Amino acid sequence: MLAPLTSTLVAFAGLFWIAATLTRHERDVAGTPLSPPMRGALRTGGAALLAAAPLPWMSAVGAPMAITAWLFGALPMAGLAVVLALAYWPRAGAWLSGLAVFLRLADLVRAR
Amino acid sequence: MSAKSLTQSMSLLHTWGGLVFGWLLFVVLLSGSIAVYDDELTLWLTPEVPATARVDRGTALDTGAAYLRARHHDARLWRITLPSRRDPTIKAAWRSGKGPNGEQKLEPRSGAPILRQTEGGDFYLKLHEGLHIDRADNRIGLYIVGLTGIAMLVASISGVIVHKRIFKDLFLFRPAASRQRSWLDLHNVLGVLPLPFHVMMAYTGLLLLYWMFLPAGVQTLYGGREPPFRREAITLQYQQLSGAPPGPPQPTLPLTGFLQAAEQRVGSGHVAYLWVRDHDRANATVEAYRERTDRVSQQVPQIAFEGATGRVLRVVERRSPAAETQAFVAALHWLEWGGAAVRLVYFLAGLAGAGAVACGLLVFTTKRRRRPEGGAPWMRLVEMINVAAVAGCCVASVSYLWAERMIPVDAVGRAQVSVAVFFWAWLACLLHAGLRGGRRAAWMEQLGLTGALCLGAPLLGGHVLTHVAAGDGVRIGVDAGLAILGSVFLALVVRLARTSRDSRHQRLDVGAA
Repeated sequence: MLAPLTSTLVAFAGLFWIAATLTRHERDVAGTPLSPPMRGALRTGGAALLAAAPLPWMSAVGAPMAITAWLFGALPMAGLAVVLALAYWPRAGAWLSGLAVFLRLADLVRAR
Repeated sequence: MSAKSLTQSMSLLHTWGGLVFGWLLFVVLLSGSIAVYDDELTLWLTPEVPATARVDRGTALDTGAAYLRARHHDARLWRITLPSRRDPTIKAAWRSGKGPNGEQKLEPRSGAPILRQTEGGDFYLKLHEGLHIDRADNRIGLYIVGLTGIAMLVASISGVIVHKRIFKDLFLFRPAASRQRSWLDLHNVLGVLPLPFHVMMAYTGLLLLYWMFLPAGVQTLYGGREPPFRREAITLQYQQLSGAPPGPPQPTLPLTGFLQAAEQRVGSGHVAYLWVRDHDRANATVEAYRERTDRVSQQVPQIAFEGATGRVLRVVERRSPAAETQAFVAALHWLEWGGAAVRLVYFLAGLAGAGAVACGLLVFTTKRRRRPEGGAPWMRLVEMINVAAVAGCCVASVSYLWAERMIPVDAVGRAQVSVAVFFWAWLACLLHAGLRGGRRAAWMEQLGLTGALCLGAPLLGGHVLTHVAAGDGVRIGVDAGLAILGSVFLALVVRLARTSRDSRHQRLDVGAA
């Protein structure tokens, strides 16, 4: 159960970072418009997180089941969580995305 | 055709197709989402079954065989399903050439038959696949749901064309905006983010019954006759009931030996069930099937043995590419793989689809309320049906659980009564919506009732206490899920009450100014 949760959380972080760069939402999260380099960094980072998100799930149950479940199930659910976070708790969403990345990195470091 | 006219025509299709099929689509999506937890709900609705079967698989097989030998000695086909992670019971099924077919669940440890008559969680599955019209009697239910699935594909595609900004506004939800704007935002985010899932489920749902919805192959190759097609392409069982009579008596080897031999091939603990044809006859065959929990494929390896000698007759491990593809597509829909995490996301993504439909129906009416047709009789009718199709369906779905909990375990025909309760509750909601004029009050009362019923269901008979005391994880999960859903419904009602009060104040302010 932990690997699917990690994969979903990392997907949330990736989508949240990308969403935070959209014109409609950047003020919600940062309070001010983002600087262009910041926007680029968040977009690239978000995309990288999305690409890396299914990996924990894949190592737990194998690629076919993990990718299917992540793509059809976990990714849209993470997206809906981003919608809720942006509408109601933008700051908490930012913190949660940071926490997700931290936990994932800690996991990777521990695995070494 | 100019771009504008394409958008316009798609808009017409999306609006009116969405309205008519939305009513049906909601019940199909809701029941399908609930049916993700069919086994868990069955367990929850049969308290007499132990939560987990810590029973040796060979013993379980013997228990099933002993039951069938004692009660259905003459049946020509047996199927014994071993306890699984989701269903701890032993299932003994029998089929005769002419005689009655049947299935009996057995208590895994004692082997005692579980006599409670119930459809359990399968009720939602039957509702989902054919509006609970028995497919053996009449295929109209399958066709209606199939048509609804096609409408869902049409609505998904036309929706993407109509709401052009959806990809730009992928994460946009403005709860504080006007009512129509909020419902439209919600309709969009619930429909677009899980769009791949919804399209996949509608498409794979149709492909499950490809021989019904694309009958050309069966027409051409089998002259339109389904039985030979089913025997060759769908059933794939080694042993089939042909016209040939059973052979002379000859003892069949113990079934546990076949189980061991099969598990040597497919992996220890991986055989899900065995079919036995003509037990204790010279022509007896035993066929073992692998489980589907750890791969995305509906077709599984199967091994057939000769019953009297134990000789391997046939091993099926790979099938034709077309059959393997269909097996993958079917498994995407059936979801026997992946475990609890995948179940949860399928459940939520399905509910998101139901929510998207519900919000779409609300957009239809809120948009028209201020227009000249807002007060027209047909609009009142639409508002009334909206309430019943969405909120009423939720009330009825939980009412089924209440009925199952409250009808005595030994009542005659209790399974049918619970099903009837679902439909009567739904009808009552339609009447209530009519009496209330389909307005906000009707929504709030029915959603509030759903919330209360969800919160109350675990308390009935004090079962939740038993579950907690026993540390029964699966049943506690159902209790907790109901409590969460109930809270969400009640929160929704509170929110609706608040916004309706706000908008009334706003109107008053405007009047004062």
